[in-house]
Amino acid sequence: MGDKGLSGMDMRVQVGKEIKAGDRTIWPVMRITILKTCEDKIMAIQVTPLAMLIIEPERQYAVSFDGDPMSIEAIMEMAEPLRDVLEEARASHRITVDFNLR
Amino acid sequence: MQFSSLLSAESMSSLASFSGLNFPAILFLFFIIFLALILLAPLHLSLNIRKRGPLLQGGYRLAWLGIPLGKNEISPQSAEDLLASIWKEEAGGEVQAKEERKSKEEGDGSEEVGRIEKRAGKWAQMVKRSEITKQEYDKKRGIMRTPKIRSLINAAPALANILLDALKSILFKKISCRLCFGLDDPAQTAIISGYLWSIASVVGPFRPKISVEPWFEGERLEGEFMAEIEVRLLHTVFALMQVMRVREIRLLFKEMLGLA
Repeated sequence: MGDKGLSGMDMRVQVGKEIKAGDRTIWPVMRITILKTCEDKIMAIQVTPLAMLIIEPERQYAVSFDGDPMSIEAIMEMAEPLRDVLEEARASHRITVDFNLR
Repeated sequence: MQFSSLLSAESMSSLASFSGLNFPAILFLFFIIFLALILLAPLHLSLNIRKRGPLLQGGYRLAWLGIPLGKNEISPQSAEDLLASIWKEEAGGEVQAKEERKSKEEGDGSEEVGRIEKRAGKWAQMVKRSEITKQEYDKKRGIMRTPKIRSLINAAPALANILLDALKSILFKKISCRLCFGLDDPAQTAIISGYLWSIASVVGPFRPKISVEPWFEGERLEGEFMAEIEVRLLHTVFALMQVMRVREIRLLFKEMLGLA
């Protein structure tokens, strides 16, 4: 039997699967904590919800689970992949104005 | 000299009588030995399946006393190719069916009506005949029938015993499983890996090497499964013989065979 003591903790912030509710799309952000043994085997996993980015046709906003207000920039810093999601959402609702119209 | 000649004469006569008179006994002895060999000598089954990236490979080997009985290997083929070939076969079948349907539709209308009428008549005759002969047919072919729940409940303890005895005949010599998987949702990945760990801990007493590694970065399925199993038929046959002595089991079999 090898030593099964705790060797390390791996912590990462991940974006979950999108949840669709009518026109609204919710992107959950969670922290995944992985506890590893000395043999580099996974001992335990903890998934903690942190925040969510809500995209509506008119607006986008972030909600933090700890109750504090959260800005879009703060959630972007937390989870980088959300930047593309937001950009895509904004692009789909962007109105292009053609100035060359006669 | 005289003694040796006498001995040799005696042995010769005994050999002659042995070979002449006890031939059925020898045959019976060989049969018993062969039967014992079948029951005692274990069957070896080794399984090996591996999936790395899109590649899927592996195979199985079944052997008895070192004699290979069956062997098959999955050549290193990408899982997508494998699925594509399966879909192709299915699609081919569907296309054929469609073509058949098309050709039927294109055929002459009046001929088609006549053909349908003929078929309907034949069908009605067949149904009548089948209703009459179904019971006889079932008896002849020994088709299994669903037993009554009551008799199934009565036979449950004996069935559990036979299952346990059959499990005794299976020996997992080596078993190892390594799985790395990821779903599109990291939370779901964590939950599923929790379930898989629970299952692994249940089979823990059998000491298999099981490792389940979750992948949180996206969808992924990779792994390796290796098993070496030994099966001795003695326990199973013995359990079957014992269980047939139980009245409830006999009743259950009779019901299933339609004899009760």
